[in-house]
Amino acid sequence: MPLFQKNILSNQVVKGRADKVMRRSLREARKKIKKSELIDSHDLALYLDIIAGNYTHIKADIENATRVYNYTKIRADKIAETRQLLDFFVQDQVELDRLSQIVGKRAEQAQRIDDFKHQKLANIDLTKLHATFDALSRGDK
Amino acid sequence: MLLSTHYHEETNNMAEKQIFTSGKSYYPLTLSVAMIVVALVLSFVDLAFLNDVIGKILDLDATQSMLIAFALGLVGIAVMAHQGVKEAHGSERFINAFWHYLLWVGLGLAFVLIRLFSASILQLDGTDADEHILKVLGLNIREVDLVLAPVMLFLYFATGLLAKDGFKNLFLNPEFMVWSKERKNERLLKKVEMKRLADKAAAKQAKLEAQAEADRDDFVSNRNANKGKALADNKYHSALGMYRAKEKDIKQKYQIISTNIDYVKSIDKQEYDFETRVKPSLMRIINESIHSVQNNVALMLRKKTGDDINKLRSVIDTHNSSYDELKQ
Repeated sequence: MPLFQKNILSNQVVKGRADKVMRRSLREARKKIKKSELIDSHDLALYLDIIAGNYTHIKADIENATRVYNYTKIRADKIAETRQLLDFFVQDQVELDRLSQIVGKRAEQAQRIDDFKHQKLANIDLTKLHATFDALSRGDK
Repeated sequence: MLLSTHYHEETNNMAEKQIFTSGKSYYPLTLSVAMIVVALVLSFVDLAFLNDVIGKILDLDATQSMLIAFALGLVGIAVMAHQGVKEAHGSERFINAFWHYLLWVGLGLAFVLIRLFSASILQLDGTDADEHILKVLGLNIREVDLVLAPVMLFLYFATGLLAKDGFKNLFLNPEFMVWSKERKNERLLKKVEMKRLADKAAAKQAKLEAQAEADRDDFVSNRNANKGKALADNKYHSALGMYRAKEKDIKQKYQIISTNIDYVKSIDKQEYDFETRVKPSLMRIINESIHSVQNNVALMLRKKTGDDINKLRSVIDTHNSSYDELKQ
């Protein structure tokens, strides 16, 4: 699932918004020059700050792009849910081991050891998954 | 069974030997048989004189009363025939002979007395035109009965003696004895064979019953065993089902965990990509736009005031460098 939608933060959109700011900045510069408010290098230095200021909101949008879709909360929620599932998973593994022993005993009583041997009991190893999760969840509670 | 057969053979041989060595004379076989037949006929004729009395007392028709009379006559013949056989075998004893003769004579006298006093028994009196009734000791006696009664008694004794001698000579006759022994042996063999077959059938039946009982026991034990096995199977499959359900649950959780981790990794990667590639690119667009505006403003200013472009560019560079420093 793409977190950053292209219609908001794609190159094309940013360029469109930048062009708009550029045209507005040039139009204001043209007016200032015409009104003799921008006549020397000093005025230019001041106006360069205004130009930079005109682009500030676009830059801010880019900087805050990861927060637009509540990325942090989504991630934290997923980590919490996964941590809870892992806890349950450990309990389930214990229960599964217990059931496996019961099945073995019942198979012996029913003289179905051969059948039992053919039953491929699950051997789910969480070590790798747990390590990956630990790496991902570092810092998340 | 063999012992029994052997015993009978021994007995027969002894009896045969006893007869053959007794030295008694005997009539020819045909004469003996003829005597017996004559005795039977005479007995029938003799007891026929009691026919009317029996018929009236028991209220029977002629045929039935004749048969009963003949049966009564046979009793006397049977008694004397038995006595004759005893004598033939040489096994008679005085007391037995006495009882035989007593019974025979008693029966005969009873028949004769019934005949003699039939008028009293039938309650006849002198009014009947056809009957001549005499009074003897206060009892009514028909004249004809005075004649018939002695004749009956004579015939009765004759038949009895004929029967006795007939059977005696018949049983003294070796031909009859051989025939009789063969018949006896045949009957014995037949009986033994029947017993053998019965024993065989009983053994077969017992075997079948034992087999049926064993089959039933096997069936019950097998059924119990199968029931126990089915219960154990059921428990096993139930436990396996619970295991599989938990396994499925765990796999689903594993899948969710894996998906979540992939999701977090995905958003981390997108953030990294944004920071390292997208964001610089976007910032470059902004900076290029800013530089373009700066250059255009500098050109417009030079055109208006005629200022040195390099001087204006140096102002711009100174601004940009100070801005970058400030940013950092």
